[in-house]
Amino acid sequence: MTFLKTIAGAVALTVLAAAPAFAQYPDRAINLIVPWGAGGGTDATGRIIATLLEKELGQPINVINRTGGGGIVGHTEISYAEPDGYTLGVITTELSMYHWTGVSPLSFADYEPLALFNADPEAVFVRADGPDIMELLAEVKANPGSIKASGANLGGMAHLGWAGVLVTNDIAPDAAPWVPSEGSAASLQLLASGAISVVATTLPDARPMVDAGEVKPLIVAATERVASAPDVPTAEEALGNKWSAYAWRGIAAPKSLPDDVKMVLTDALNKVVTSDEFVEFMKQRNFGIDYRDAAGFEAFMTDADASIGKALQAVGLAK
Amino acid sequence: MSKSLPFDSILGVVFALFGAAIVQQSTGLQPLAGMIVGPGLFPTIVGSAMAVFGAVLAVQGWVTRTNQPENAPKLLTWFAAGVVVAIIAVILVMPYLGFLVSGTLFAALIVLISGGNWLSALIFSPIASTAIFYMFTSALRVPLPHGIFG
Amino acid sequence: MEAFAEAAGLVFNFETLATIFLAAVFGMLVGAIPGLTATMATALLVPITFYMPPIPAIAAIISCTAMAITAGDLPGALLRIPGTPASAAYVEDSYRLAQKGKAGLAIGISVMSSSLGGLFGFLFLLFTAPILAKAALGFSSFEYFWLALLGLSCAALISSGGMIKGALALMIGLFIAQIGLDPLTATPRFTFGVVELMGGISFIPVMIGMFAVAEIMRSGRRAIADVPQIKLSNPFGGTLSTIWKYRKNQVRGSVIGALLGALPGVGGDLAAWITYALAKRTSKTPEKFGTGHPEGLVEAGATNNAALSAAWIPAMVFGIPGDAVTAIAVGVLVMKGMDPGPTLMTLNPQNFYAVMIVFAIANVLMLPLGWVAAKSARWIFEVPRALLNAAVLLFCIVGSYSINNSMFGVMLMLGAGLLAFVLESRMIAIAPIILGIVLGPLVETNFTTSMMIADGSMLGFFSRPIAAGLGFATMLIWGFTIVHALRGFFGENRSELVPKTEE
Repeated sequence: MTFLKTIAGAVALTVLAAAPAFAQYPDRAINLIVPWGAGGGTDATGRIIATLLEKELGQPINVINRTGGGGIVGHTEISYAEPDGYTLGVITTELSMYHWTGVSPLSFADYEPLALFNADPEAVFVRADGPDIMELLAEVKANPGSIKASGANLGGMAHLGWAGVLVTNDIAPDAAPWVPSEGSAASLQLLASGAISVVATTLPDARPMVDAGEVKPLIVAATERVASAPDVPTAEEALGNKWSAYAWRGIAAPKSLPDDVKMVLTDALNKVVTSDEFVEFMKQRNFGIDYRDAAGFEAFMTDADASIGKALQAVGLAK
Repeated sequence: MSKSLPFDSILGVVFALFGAAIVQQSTGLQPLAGMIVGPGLFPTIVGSAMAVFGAVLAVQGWVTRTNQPENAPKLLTWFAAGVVVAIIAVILVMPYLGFLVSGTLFAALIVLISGGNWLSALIFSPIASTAIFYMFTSALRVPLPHGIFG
Repeated sequence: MEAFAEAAGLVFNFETLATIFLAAVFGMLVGAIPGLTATMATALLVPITFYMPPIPAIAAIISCTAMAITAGDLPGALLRIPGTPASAAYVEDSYRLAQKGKAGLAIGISVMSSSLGGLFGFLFLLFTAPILAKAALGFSSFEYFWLALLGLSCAALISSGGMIKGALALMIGLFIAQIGLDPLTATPRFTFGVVELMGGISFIPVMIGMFAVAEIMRSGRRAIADVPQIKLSNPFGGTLSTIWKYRKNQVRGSVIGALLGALPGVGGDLAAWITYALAKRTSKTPEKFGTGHPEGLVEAGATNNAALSAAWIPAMVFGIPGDAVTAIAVGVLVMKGMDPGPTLMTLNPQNFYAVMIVFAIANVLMLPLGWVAAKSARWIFEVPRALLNAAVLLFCIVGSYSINNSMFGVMLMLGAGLLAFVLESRMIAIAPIILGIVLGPLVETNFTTSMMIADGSMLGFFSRPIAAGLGFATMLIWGFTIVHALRGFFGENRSELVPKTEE
């Protein structure tokens, strides 16, 4: 039985190999690699996209969490995969940083961008009984080193978000040192327990703690106010200096994907990201939608790469 | 292992050397800008502790060598070696042959070296690997390798 | 109380109850397969919950998780493959018990002490949840550092081969944990340029290799079918009397579990190790631990599930999930419009209580499902050894593969199996290695974070009252042990150094 099946499989494979053009993509399951752990924001958004994309393409989409190394392992896996459209991946902000900090040569040029679907600005939080932004920066200036900030690892987007606030206001980044942590949850716990004074992270990540009355947002490093938090001023409104730092997520494939496969995927993703179900999901979880098609996504990453490189150099983390 | 040198002492020396190697490797790990504690600190602590405990184990093994049980079970058996070789073979072969084929061969081999007869190996192996294959790929959605028979 | 009645109405209807039951069966099946985890079971359920109303959706997640974690004790007792790092603390006892022909009792104790512990956790949290949540929020990296260190110390000190060998095993675990990118600075350590190693070494393939593969290599062709299993008409009969005999352990394990479990990230994995060590310390027969003695099994089993219920508190009240499973559950809560946060308890207390009731039901449901499992456990000893070996190894390979969907997991499994095979032949215990892998990163990141906060001053670790208390407790334990060991070494009794003697 097994043997017969394998023979049949071998025959089918030979036929397929002989005439790949006749095969209608997709004709089998697609793997979607998520470079972050199950349960996080990237995983949650990746899974909803997989569920909706499955309906569009009519083939199962398997979500695979390839975690570790601050996302490097999963990102590497996506770029190494066969560019046949059967391995896709969610790529995230960190991709713009690896080659600048020198931990991995990976960059956006190793991927075929398909669609950007999410971007959330970093925001600055203090304890609910903490100072406002002017008092906070005055304290940093008056007593360099006394205010500690956290949010995620060293040289991540959260770190940049905070360092940018300091640099654009003519304060040296080491006046309010960055305490590396494993992520926003750990940092918010440090803030609530009184061990540090500032946390930089995105609004959806801190939402429960804000609602709990434990912490409050001061400013958001965005070009305009965020719809879900209309009371929080942008960095420019509060301080007069332009500064924006967005954490983003998008779908990409390995480089040199065939054009016909790319067409099928970009069309399907367009329908998925603009669907009511997706919009409703993102709204409920307070994630911002920033949809850009393949070309728009490519341009976005080119810009992000350059500006993040500049910011990393300013903080002294670029190699 | 020779009678005069107890196995605990050998193991202790191996650990001590390995610990020293960890410490040596960690010296290259320097703190990043703005960090007080570097990534090399903990490996250095662990490596040193391993070296110290390894040395103590080596001495302890030597001191208590007369107390060693003489009839310790034989460590290296044909069966244990067979299991290791079979797993290595699966690692090498599965990406090409896929899970169904290599899993069946593997199961049959294990049944045989475990003392099972040919008939049970022939009946059991394809059924077990097919059941596991479909349970994982269909019900649990773990994409197992299809291989060239895909 | 009105909210509680409303919550009962939300839960006690056909749809919700049927969902709870189906999810529990599903969790049981996945958890009982060696190498598959509760996280995986939960992640598989999430897409299905998209199409459910809020309460059944969250009920499905909770009952599936609770059941999968408890079911992880089945392969532990029968095949020596622990389901979670927490159950690695007592896997030796439950496996040896099964090898003595008491598999039904081993599973019975695991299931029943878990269920009672979980129910206790439920009652405890019903009254203390808000206070406990607030207290947990006061823990910073300083307290976490000491707590993790305390857990590590327990592992080294209780291991059966003596302190030196326990400490060596712990160092191996800590070293394995350091392979990969350093979690805070992303510096590659011991990766030698291998991309697969950059992701670090997952404890699941290591656990499968060290416990299951090594065990098969060792026991080899000896048939475990030779183990005559005691026939039980009611597998829980002996269980009740055993738990009653160790009722003190049951209660203490539950209390400590509920308290530690409320600490996000640390609680669940640590608690069972600490109470197992405590049970051994206070036992009249510590030498029986690790040979199939039920005392530690009762206490650690109770702790496990009490901690599991408590872990929902920080997740629901502050949206701080402690592990991947609660993180997934928080995602489902948010998606269903039940944003975690204090508003969940003030604006919609019926939802909060509904979640708690579901937890209680899941723990009660554990008993009949566990009964069936314990009763049918005997059949596994009647399968010919040759077939069992092949099936278990196939599951080991697939389970290790599925962690990252790569052969690398299988290679890790094999390497870990070989290492454990050699180490265990010299009475070096495996359990501390697993704990080292799990807690190593916690100790390190919290130490580094704390040093940054304290500007490099060690005094910072004693500047907060709870941190100072935990710090002195840890140092006291070590001081006591070292003095004890030195007395043994120079003192009257040199035979203490024989490996099989304790400490």
